[in-house]
Amino acid sequence: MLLDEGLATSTGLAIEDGLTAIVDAAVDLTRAQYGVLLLVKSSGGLEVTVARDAQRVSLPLDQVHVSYSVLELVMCSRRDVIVDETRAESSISREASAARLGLHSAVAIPVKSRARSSADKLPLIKVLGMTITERRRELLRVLYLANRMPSSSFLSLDHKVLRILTREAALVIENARLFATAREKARLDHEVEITSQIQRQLQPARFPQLPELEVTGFTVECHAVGGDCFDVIELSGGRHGLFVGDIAGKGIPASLLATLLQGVIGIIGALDLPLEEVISRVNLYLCERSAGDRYATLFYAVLDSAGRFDYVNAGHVPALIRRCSGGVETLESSNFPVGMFSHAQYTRETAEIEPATPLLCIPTASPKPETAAANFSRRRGDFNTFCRGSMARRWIASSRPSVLECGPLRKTRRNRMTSPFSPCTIVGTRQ
Amino acid sequence: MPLRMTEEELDSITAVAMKGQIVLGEESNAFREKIEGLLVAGKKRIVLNVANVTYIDATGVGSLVASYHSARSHGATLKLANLGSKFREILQMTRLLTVFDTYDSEAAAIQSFAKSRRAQA
Repeated sequence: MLLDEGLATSTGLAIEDGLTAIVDAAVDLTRAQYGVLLLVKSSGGLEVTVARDAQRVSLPLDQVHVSYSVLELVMCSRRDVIVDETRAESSISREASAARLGLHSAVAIPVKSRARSSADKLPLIKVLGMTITERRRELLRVLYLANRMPSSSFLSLDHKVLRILTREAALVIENARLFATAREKARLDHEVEITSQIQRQLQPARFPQLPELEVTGFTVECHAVGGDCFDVIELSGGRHGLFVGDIAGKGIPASLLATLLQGVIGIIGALDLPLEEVISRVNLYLCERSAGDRYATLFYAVLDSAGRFDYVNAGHVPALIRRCSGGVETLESSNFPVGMFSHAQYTRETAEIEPATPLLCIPTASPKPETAAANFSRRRGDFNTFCRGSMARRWIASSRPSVLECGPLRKTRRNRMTSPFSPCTIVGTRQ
Repeated sequence: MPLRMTEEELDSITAVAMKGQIVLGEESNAFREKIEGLLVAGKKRIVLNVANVTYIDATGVGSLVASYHSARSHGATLKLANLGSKFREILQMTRLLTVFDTYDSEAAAIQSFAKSRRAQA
């Protein structure tokens, strides 16, 4: 019979089926009139989940009679409790509630998890204000078996067999939990994958082809989803808006806000307002719709065909321009990030991108504060390594940079798996 | 390294010494809860000593700003003391140096509260 129960466990039957089979087996073994399995709720209360009679028929859960004083004893002691009016050596004297129910004998056995839980600590010793605790097994269920017949007694029970049954019950419950956890994880992974696909699809599919300039951009993913975004917005008169943004935080919350930010920039940017006005409106929009600790750094620029480059750097990592001389110019932030302060004012700066200017690079690392903290903690070498330090500067200052050389950079960065820093918009002269 | 915060009450000014990182997760939550707790307890003058903050990420900065907003709504003032060069750089980049009052030492921050109280009197 135990083998049958083991089979029920391993074949992945629904948890209710597995537990019902175990209650039936327990009733058969003990010759009880009925058996009940009670769920131990997180509040400490009990709830009847399975009730079966000796004919293997389910009983109405709300009409099952159990002795709560017996159950209380099991909950407190976490040990088997037997009530038997016929024998003096029963583990406890007949309980009042058992008497009210007309029970002649009852047995209640705790169903405990197999592993000891660190969250469920039992005070062991209290000395000098300190409590030494030991980890104990989580109480999952209580198996309750009852007899109203005076001739029946549980005192001669084979406890070992009953304990094996309760261990089987614990196994069924834990397997079901693991299965539920695995299913939930698979569902979340699937949703993250869909989110990631949507994020990738939101990236510009094509870049503007200008007489003197070539624009491109790419994203290096360090996590499935993240708070980085970039876009190119076509404006009147051959001008283009270039946007790179980075939401503070990680994962799906950041990716949701990144999508929102990209959409808002796309809509407001297309109005072709002065840049500072565009960013002020974006800021106001985010302040009204996001929690106080959610914000974004962004770099938004408008580039015209003559090479005039107006930009607002809102707390973002500096863009880098490689000049003909080989020197690298940085376009630093002089503004608040967006989404922090609704009253924030933004200022626009201007730079010239002469036809001979080899390269402009607008990266996103982790948001500016985080990346600036790289050297601070010496824990990671992401942005400072890339932008201020070796990689980007070396790359951008190299003798013949072109947008086509993004490939090796991308590869290098991916291989290095540097910490979360990703999209990079590159504007370069056509070679 | 988890964020450790110890507070000290000096003449109705609460100085919170912070040690560790203010990053996404438990640390930034703990920081928010700490400040929220102080504000709910009616503390109006708070100095954050960040000398031993070894790292702050974007979420940490967000928590700092959220605490700033929260303090203002409670009629309280939050001041920062002992900013390291990188912490200062972060606040510079995000222009938060124009928002937070910052001091070179905890004593200077505490003294500034006393001065403003004298000025009000």
